[in-house]
Amino acid sequence: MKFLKTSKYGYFLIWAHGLSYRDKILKQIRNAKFIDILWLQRYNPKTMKRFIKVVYAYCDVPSYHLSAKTDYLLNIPSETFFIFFRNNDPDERYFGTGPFRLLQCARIKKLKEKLRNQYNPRKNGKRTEYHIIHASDNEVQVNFILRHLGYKNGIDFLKNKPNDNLLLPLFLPKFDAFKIKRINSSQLFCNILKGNINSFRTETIKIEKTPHYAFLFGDKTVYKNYINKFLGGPLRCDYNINNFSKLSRTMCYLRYPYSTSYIITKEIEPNKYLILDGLHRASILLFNKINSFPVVIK
Amino acid sequence: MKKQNLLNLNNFFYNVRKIPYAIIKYNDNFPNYHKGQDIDVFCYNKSQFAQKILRVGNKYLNKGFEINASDINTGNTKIDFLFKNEIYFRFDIYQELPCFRNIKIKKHYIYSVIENAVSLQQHYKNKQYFIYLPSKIDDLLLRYIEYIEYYQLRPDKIKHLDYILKTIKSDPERICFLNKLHLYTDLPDDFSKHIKKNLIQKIFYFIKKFFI
Repeated sequence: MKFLKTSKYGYFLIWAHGLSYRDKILKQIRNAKFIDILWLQRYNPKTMKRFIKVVYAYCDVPSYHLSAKTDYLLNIPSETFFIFFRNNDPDERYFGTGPFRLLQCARIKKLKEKLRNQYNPRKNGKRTEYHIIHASDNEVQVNFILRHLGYKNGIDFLKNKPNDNLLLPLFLPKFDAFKIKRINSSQLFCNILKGNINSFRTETIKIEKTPHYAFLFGDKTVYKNYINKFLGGPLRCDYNINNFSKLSRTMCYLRYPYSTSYIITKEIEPNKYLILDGLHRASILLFNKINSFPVVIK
Repeated sequence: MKKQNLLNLNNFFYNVRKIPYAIIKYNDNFPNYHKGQDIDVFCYNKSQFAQKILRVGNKYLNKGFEINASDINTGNTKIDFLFKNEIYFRFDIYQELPCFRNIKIKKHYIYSVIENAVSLQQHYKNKQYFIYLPSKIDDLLLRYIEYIEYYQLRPDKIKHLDYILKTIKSDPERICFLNKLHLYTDLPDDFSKHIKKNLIQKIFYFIKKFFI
């Protein structure tokens, strides 16, 4: 009865004192098979006091409990990291009693507790309650936080399907028409980020000059530094070395079940195309000496 | 010798054999067609159908074809296969009935067409499979709709009426298609407004004629 199952959207929020464990936390979340990470975002709130109110705005437990629980957050730096995800197998149950009775996904709760057990600060060898991670309980909270972060459509942003017929990432705007054409790799260009996370610009270059292409030739540090530098800033998809490495070994472009997972481009000059999505795949094709392949032209 | 079509329609329809659809205005030459021809398909889920078409279409990209897809999120999806920059074949995929001006057809008629579709045996790579066509009743009804809708602009559509009359003559029971037509047709939205307007105009006409 797989097709009768529903999915739910949620988020994890890493507070400043947990950011040094970010990569380890991300790795553990990736390993949870019921979760698809959709969107990553760094966020530096102006004031922690107001931000804490926003995060717990739709939390149903009594406010005296919340203020006691979140007091420690007032003294940490204003840096956070959001991990938005789709929970493909929600197991929602009531936890707690009386005014503390809450509907939560048991799997998410278990994962959250595991991460807290591992990374919460310790005192006398015991876990403190200065939680490094927070998880949403319901989609109302996700919707509210996304609006606070500036996504006008709230949770619909995570559900965005730019085009019904193609497998596409959620960040592309909707489009109603496209062309599929076989093009030569010499006609392909891509945008690469330069600068730092707070002040960056894009540079249009050939695929052969990208950190992605260098990674395939064994230079992993260039790609790793590139991802680390911009992840959660201008790079908000779940890019990571392990996934790219696995993709480079297993990818069969446009083979079932990815028959409509085309590289998406737009024509910037006659016969010159800019990759909008699919730089990793294009790099792998080029690395495998496949110089001509079908792409979607928006 | 008959010229071979570059796109093998059997290849495409073999791949959609498991999803519900109906080919409208079926051409007896199937799977043969002439360059520039199109095929209209009714289905429940046009993106599911279009994805299957694109999946097979990928193979033809190696043979010099390009694919143009349009009206993906709205209306009926068109998937054009272009060869040397000319439309070679078009799939017109409908998930909803098009809007008619001269006749109002209830939206759910499309589901009746798909559910009552009849199967026709075909072969692809020595394998037997079925394509799905509207039942005889729906075929007459769809022809009638096309005749009513387009006759004023395209008098050649009289061929549909001729076909209907010929069919009824040879098989009088087929006249029952009119029952289904009545079940699935409505008065146009502006019909009552139109009547009111005419009535008011007539009243004014008589007032003018007799009192002014």
